Amino acid sequence: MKKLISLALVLVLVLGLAAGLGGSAFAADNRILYHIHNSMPYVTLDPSIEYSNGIMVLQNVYETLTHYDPETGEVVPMLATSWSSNEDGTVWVFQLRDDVTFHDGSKLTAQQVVNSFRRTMDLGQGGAYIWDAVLEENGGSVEATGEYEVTITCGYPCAIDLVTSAAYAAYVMSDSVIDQDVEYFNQGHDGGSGPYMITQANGDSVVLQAYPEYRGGWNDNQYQYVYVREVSESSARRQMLETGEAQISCEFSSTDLEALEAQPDKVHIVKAETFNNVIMFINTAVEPGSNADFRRALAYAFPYDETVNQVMNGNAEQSVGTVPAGLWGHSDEVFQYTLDMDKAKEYLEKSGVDTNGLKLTVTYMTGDDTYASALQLYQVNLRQLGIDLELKSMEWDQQWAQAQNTDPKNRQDMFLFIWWPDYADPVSWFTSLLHSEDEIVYNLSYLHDEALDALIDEAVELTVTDREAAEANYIEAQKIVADQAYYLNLYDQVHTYVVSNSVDGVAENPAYSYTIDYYQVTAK
Amino acid sequence: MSNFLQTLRPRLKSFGESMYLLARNKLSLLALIVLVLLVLSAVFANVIIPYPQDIADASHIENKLQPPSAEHWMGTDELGRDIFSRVVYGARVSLRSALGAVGLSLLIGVPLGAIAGSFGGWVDNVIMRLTDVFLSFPPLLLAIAMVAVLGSSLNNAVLAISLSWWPWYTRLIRGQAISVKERKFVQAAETIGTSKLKIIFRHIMPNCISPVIVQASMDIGGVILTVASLSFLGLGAQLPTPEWGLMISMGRTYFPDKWWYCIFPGVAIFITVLCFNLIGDAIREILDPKTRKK
Amino acid sequence: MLKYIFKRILSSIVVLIGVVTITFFIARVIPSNPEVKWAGQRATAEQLEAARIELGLDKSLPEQYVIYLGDLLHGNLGKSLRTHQPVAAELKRYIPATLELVLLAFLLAVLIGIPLGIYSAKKKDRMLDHISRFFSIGAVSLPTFWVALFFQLIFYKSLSLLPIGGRLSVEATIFQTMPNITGLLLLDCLLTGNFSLMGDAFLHIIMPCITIALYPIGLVARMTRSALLEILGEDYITAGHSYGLRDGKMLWKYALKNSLGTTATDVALSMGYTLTDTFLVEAIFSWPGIGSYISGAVTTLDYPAIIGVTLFGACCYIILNLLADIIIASDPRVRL
Repeated sequence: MKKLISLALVLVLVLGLAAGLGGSAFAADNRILYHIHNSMPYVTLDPSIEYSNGIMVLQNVYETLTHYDPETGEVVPMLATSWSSNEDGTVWVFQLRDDVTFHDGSKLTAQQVVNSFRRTMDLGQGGAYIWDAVLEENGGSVEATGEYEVTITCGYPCAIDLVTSAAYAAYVMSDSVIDQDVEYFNQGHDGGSGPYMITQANGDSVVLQAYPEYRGGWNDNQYQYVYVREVSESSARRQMLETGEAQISCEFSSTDLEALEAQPDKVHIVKAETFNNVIMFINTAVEPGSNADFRRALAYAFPYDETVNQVMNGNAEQSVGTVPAGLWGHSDEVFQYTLDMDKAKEYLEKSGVDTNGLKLTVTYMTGDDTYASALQLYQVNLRQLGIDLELKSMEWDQQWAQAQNTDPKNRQDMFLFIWWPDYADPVSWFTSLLHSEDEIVYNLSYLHDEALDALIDEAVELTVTDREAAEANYIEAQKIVADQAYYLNLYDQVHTYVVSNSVDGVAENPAYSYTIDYYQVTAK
Repeated sequence: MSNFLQTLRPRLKSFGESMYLLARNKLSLLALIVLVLLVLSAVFANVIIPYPQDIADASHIENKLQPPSAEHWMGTDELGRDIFSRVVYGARVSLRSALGAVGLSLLIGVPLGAIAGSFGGWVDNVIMRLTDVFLSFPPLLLAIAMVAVLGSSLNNAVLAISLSWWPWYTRLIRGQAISVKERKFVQAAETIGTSKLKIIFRHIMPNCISPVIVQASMDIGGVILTVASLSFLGLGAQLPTPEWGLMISMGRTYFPDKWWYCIFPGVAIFITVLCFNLIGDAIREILDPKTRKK
Repeated sequence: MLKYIFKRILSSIVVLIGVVTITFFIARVIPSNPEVKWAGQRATAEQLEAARIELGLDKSLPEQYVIYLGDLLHGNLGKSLRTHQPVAAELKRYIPATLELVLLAFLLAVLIGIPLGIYSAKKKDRMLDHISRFFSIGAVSLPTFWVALFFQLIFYKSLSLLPIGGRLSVEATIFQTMPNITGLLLLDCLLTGNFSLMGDAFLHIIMPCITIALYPIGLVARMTRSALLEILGEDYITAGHSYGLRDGKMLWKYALKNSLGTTATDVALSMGYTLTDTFLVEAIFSWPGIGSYISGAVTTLDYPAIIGVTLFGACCYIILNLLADIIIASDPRVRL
C-alpha cells in the first residue's frame, strides 16, 4: 500500500512539475487570430469537391475569377480584371491579372484556370453541377485563348460571371496540385493564391499562415496566423470569448448571446444578413397535404413572430417570399402569412379535412434547438385545431431518404429544411425546390405545377439577357407559392458574430456563408 | 456499464430475511424510501404535478426560462413550461422505459439461457457464441446503430438497449440451469418421459429465475442512465416528452445562466440511479453468504 | 492448457466473424443514400452510377459481403463516405488521443479505487466504509455528460485553472513540432524530453480524464471491496486468524493478492467498452479522439466509418476478454 501511495505521489509530482513548466511558454511574437466554430471547419480541403463548411477555410486560401459584392449586388473582379459575353450569354471571355502567384511560387496563367475548372468538372462532385452548361456533353468548353485570356463556351445561356464567383467548385488552383487527391489536401497541403496558406489540418482544426508574397501586401496589424477550430458547445464557446482566449465565433444559443451582449467591455456583436432561409415542405402528394385550403390552415397556424422574436431573440427575420431580402428576385409584395388561428380554423373548415385522429409528422435536424422550440410551439397551435403533430428529430440523410421514399404515404408530412444559393442568383430555389422533377431530389413538396414550371424555365433563359424580366417571373412564381401554400417560408437567418474588442474588420458576405475574410481582419 | 453489477452472482435466500437485512442498513433503507416515493410519484404523476398541461399541451413562451419561484419550484424551460412538473413526470418516462428494456432483455435472454444450459452440446455452443458476439459490441454504439435503422423514438431506444443487454441474462441463467438440471426432480421428470422442452420451461426455468430477477432489478439504474444518454444524443425520446436526458440536452444550451433547466433533471437521474444502485448493492451483499459471515 | 488457449482463440475468431457479419448487415439496411453522399448532393445520374460502381453497391448483397470480408483480411476498412479517405488511416489518427485519455483514466481509477476499496473492506460497516461506498456508487450513478458541463463551469470559468477543451493550447499547436512516436502525446513528450509541451498536454487532459475516470473509480473500489470481503471470509483466512497472524499482514499478504486477479479482469473488460463509449465526453471537451470521429460519422450515417469504429471496439473487447481468460486459466488453482 505504501508503495502504491508513493507511486501516486511521484506521478502527481512529475506531472505537476511538467504542468508548471508548461503554460504560455510558446507565446511568440506572431499574432494568432482564433476563430471557433460550432461544427467541423471542413469535411475535405479539396478545392474542387468541398461542398460543406470547408469554404470557411478555402475562401481565404483560394481565389475565384470573380467575386460577389453584397453592397452593389454585382460581381466584381478578383483573378479576372474584366470579362464580356456575347449577346445570348453562351460565350464568355475573361481577362486575367498578370501579377498573381500561387503559394508554390508558380505564376497564374490562363492554362491553370482551364486546368482547375476541368479538374472540378471531371471529378463531378460537391458543387460541380454549377458548370453544367459548360460540360462537354452539353456542348460547352473551357479554353485558354491567350496567356491571360480564358474563353468559356456554354451549351445554353448561362450567367458564367456569377458561376465563377461561386462559393464552391469555382476555385483556381496551381498546376502542381491538379493531379493530387483528397488525401493530399486533407493532410494540410494547398495550391491556392489567396492571402493565407494551410499549414496544418487536424480534422477538428486548421492552421492558416499568411502568404508573405500576397499581391496585396501585409500590414503589421494583420494576423500572421489564423486558427479555426470546432467547439460544438455554445456555452464553451461563450466562455472562451469571455476569457479572451478566442476572438471570433457565432451560432450561440439565445441565452449565451444575451450574456455576451451584456459585456460590451469585452466583445462586440456583428450581425450579418444571409441568403439562408428556413422552409417547411408539405407533402402535397397525399391527403391532407394535397388540399390547398388545408395547407393554408397550416400556414396560418405557424408561430412566425414568436419564433423570430422569442425563440431566436430577434436574430432572424420572418421571410417574405422565397428569395431573401438583399438578393435580386426578392419582393416585399409577395404575400406573407402571419399567425392567425381564426383564419386557420376557417381554412380548415373550408378544406373539409376530418381532423378526427389526424396525426401529422414533421422531421427536423437532430440537435437543432431552435427548430425544436419553434416546432413545439407549432405543435401546441395545431392541437387547438385538433391536429396532432408528431416531432421527429433525425439526421439529415435519414430525413432526406424518407422524403424520397417511393411510396408517398411513407414520407413525412412536413419537413423542416434550410436552403441557400451556391452563388448570388435566386435560380437554385426555383429549379431545385419548386420545378417539377422526374426523380425526387429537392422538390420535397412534390410539386407538379405547369404554370410554375413555365415561369421558371423562362426566367432561367432571361437571366443573362434581361435580368428585369427574369426578376418579374421569379416574383410571380413566389406569389403562386404563397397563394397555394406549397411550402411555408418561415424565416431568413441572420448570423450573429460575437467578436473580441481586440479585433476589427470582421464581416460576412452573404454569398459566402460563414466565411470571414481574414485578410480584412486587423488587431486593434 | 453492467458488468459492475453482473460479476457477482447473487444467491437469493428468503425474501423476508432479505428485506429485514436491507432495512437494517440505514443507507439502503433511505434509498428504499426515496425509491418508493419515486415510484409513487411516477404512478400518480397526473395527480401530483401542478401544471399537467405543461407535459405536452401548452406553451407560455412569454414566461420562458424563469428562475425557481413559489409558482415554479424548479423554474421554467425555454417555452415557459414548469420544469418541476416535467421532472416529476419524467420519473414515469424513465422508469417505464427502464422496466421495458429490462423486461424485453429477460424475454430474450432467459429462454435462450435455459435452453443453452439444459441442452448443452452444440445448442449451448451456438447460443453462447451468439451472446459473445452481442457482448463484444460496444453497447452504446450498438444502440445507436439500431436506432439509425429503426428511427429515433423512445420505444426504439428501449428495443435497442435490450438488444445489447440480454446476453448478460442468458449467461446468468445458463449457469443456473446447468446446476438445476442435475437435481433429482428434473431427473425424475426425465425418467417418466416428459418432453425436453416441457422440462425446460416447467421445471428448470422456474427454479433458476429468482437470481435473474434480482439481477434485473439491480440493472435498472444502469438502464436508466443508458436511456438518458441516448435521449441526450437525440436518439431516444422525442419532444415534447419530458425525458430527463432529453431535458438536459435541451437545457445545456442555456447553461450556466439558466442553471435550473440543466441541474434538476440531472439531479433526478442521479438520485434515481443512485437509489437503485445502493439497493442493488445491498441486496447483493445480503445474498452473498461469504461477505455476510462477520 | 495449450489446447484450452487454442480453443479460446478459435472461438474468439468465430465471435469476431459474427460481429463483422452483423455490423455489415445493419449498415446495409440503414435507410440512406451512400452513393449520394459519395458523389455530392446534386450529382448527375451518371455520377451517381459511377459512385455506385466505385462503392461496389451495384453488386448483390452476398457478393458485397464476400468482397468486404476479403478487404478486411487486408486491413482495408473501405473509404469514408464523407472525407473519401481510408477509414483505417483515419482510425489510426484518432485512436491514440482516445487511448491516451482512457489509459490515464483507468490508471487514475486503479490509483484511487483500489486504496478506497481496501479501506472500505477493512473498516466494513463503519463510517468510512459507508462514505466510500456512497462515493463509489455515486460515481457510477452520475450521467457523465452532465458532470462534464459542471467541470467546465467550475475549473475553466470560475477558477480559470484548466483549459476548457482540446488537446493542446493554440500556441503549442501552431509553434511546436509534435513528437510522433506512439501517438500518445504525454508519453511522446516524455520520451523526447519536451516537458513544456507535456505540461500543456497534461493540463488539457485533466478534466476529460477525471470525467471518464469517475465510472471506473467507482467500479474498481466496489470490486476490490467485494473481492476482499469474499476472501476474508474464506477458511484459510479464518484459519490464519486462529494461528494468530496479524490482521494487517493477512490483508496484505494473502487477501489482497488473491483478490486482485478478479478485479483486474473486470477492469480490463470495462476498459474495452469505455474506449468507444467516450464520445459524449469527447464532444463536450472538443477532444479530437475516436468519439468525435464517431459522432461525425453517426450524424452523416457514414457507415464505413461506423463499422470501422464498431469493429475496433469489438476487437478490443474480444482480445481483452481472451487475455483475461488465459490469465485466469494459467492460475494453477483453476481446473479446466
